[in-house]
Amino acid sequence: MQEKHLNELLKNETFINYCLKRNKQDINDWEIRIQENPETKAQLEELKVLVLAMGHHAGQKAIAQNYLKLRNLINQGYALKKRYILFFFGWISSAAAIIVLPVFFVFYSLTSNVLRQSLSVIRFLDTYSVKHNVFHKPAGHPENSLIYSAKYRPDDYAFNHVSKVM
Amino acid sequence: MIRLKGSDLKHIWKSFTISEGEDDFYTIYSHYHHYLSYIGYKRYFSEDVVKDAINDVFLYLWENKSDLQTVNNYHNYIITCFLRKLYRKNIIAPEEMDELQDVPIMLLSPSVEDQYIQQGMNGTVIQIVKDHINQLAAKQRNMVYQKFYLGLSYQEIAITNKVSINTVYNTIYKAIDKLKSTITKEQETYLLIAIGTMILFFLFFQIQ
Repeated sequence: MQEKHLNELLKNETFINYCLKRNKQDINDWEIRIQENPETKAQLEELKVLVLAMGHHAGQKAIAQNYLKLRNLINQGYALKKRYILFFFGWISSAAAIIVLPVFFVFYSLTSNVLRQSLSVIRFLDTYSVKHNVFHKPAGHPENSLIYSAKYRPDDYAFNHVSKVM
Repeated sequence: MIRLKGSDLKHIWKSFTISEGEDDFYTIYSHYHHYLSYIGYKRYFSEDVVKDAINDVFLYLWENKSDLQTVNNYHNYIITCFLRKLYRKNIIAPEEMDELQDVPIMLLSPSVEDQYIQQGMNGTVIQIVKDHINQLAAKQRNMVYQKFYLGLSYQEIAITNKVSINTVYNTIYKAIDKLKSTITKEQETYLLIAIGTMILFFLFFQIQ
């Protein structure tokens, strides 16, 4: 077979079907043709390999390129999700701040006077116990923190504070 | 190109659903890419639509990988998912699934072609073919893929690429012609080198 004729076979649909084993009729026809012309077998085998190699490499490239697109989609998806989460986290934290801060300020304004009064009472009791040194003993708590803390106070602490409280 | 037996793929699917690794995911992707492409092109969907549908399916699988352990028949699951994406509808008619029986099983079975290529061609020619395919324009390469791998007819390629049959024929003709001439040039170069070496060898002994 001539070179030009052989090259034409690469475009022949029945020959490509024979190479790819796609059509029983074409496979049979070409096998018969090869049996009848055994001298062409080597050249046809070479062409068959060329067809398969072209398909093989084009297929590999197709997969690689499409997978690259998929990888980008996956990465974009992650980026979108991350942005989505951050966006919602921002809104949720803002909403929480809007709710929590007023509640805190209202609570503080309502309770600050009570707290101040309570502190004054505690300070009075503390200074009183230091001054008289017997205030906590009847309760049976010799390790009372107020009494212990009194050890480390300056000597004039009780007098100054008692006079202020009184 | 990764070609696997059904049982191998079953293990890989199981491994993917448990470990959720990307290697297993890529193996499944490359295994199904040709099969799904063939189904899409045979139904005259364009290249972009088919490729997007394949990626939509696998994006869905990737994003829901933790829920895939409950899937028993992964093959039917992937095919149904692909057809849904392709037709953009939730319910696929049974007759649309029946048409899948015409799909050549060789696109899903272990291939002897890869070995055949390795045995039948020397490394230089394989490299030339590979380089040549990489140098082709995307459209041209896709047509070569559709013709020489998927085995679509010239008419089917023309419809899916929205061009005339003559354009398909000419595009593939140019790709083959260039490849053949490259291989011939390469072979001629090797032949010239061999002849030159022989002449030098001969002259050397003549002088002696």
